[in-house]
Amino acid sequence: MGCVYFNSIGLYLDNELAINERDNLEAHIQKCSECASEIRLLKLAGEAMRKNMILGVDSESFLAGLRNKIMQEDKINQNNEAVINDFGKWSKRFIPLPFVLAAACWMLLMVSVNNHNPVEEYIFGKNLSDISTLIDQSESNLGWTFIN
Amino acid sequence: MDQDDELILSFNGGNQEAFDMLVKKYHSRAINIAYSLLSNLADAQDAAQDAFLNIYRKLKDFRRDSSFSTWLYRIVVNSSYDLMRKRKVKNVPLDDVLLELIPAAEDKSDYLKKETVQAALSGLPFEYRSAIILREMEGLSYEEIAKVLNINIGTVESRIFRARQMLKAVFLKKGVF
Repeated sequence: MGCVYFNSIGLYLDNELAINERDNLEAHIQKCSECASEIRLLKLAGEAMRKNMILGVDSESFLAGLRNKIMQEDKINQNNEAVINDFGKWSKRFIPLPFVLAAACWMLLMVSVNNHNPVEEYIFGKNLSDISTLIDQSESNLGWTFIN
Repeated sequence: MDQDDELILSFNGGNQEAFDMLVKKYHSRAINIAYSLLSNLADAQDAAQDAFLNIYRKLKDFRRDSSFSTWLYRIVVNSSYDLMRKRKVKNVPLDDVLLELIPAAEDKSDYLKKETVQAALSGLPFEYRSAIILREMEGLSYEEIAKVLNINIGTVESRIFRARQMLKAVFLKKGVF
């Protein structure tokens, strides 16, 4: 449709036009049968949608269903809280605090040394030769020879 | 302070009945919006209840930046969208094949038939559908719709325009006008 007012018809029906725009459109409708027809069709479409509404929904049954949902959700939340609390109690009972603190300190140390793992180095790295030196010294001091 | 604000204050003060009164006041509107969006009454009731459940949990934090109804509509639209995704309902575009499935009108009063309107509405993209429903069924202004859907007024305008053109095309094709 080529009419310049065509796109404004919906705005007119929805009271979204400024007063002067509305007056111009109303004057135009008197002369333009296509715009008048468009207004009629859009009004009918709106009426059809409004007639599609459901009437008389029982509020009591809706409320009962809603209360049931609230109760169910509360129960789930309570169960979740209980699981979290149970784990808290269990961890307090079976994992002593000093152990947790020691583990935390060790983890911190691992992170802070930044690619310098003392355990790995002690077992496989230069500290391994320190152990050999220590054994050699012990042998000479004691006059014994450990079996290789 | 309007009646809704008084009810919200009363509920936040511990009066459970105030919440029930809010539900009774708005449940029909919530179900109707959800029904128009989902095309299924059981799903509509479910989505509306989910919306009120959400409100029940968040009413203490409601800051009154907008009216209660605007907030409610937003939550209902979101609940309906979530339920649609959960049910994996895909929006089927209104192509010619789908148009064949919509029953043709037997007489001019047939445009009032729920099935015809519902089938036509369900063929619209969700974002067009929500905008046109809030306008035609709830009578919201473009500014209010923009707040509910969290979009700008220009987008509301174009969505409503496109929705109307698509619905008009279906109704014309089905001979209901």
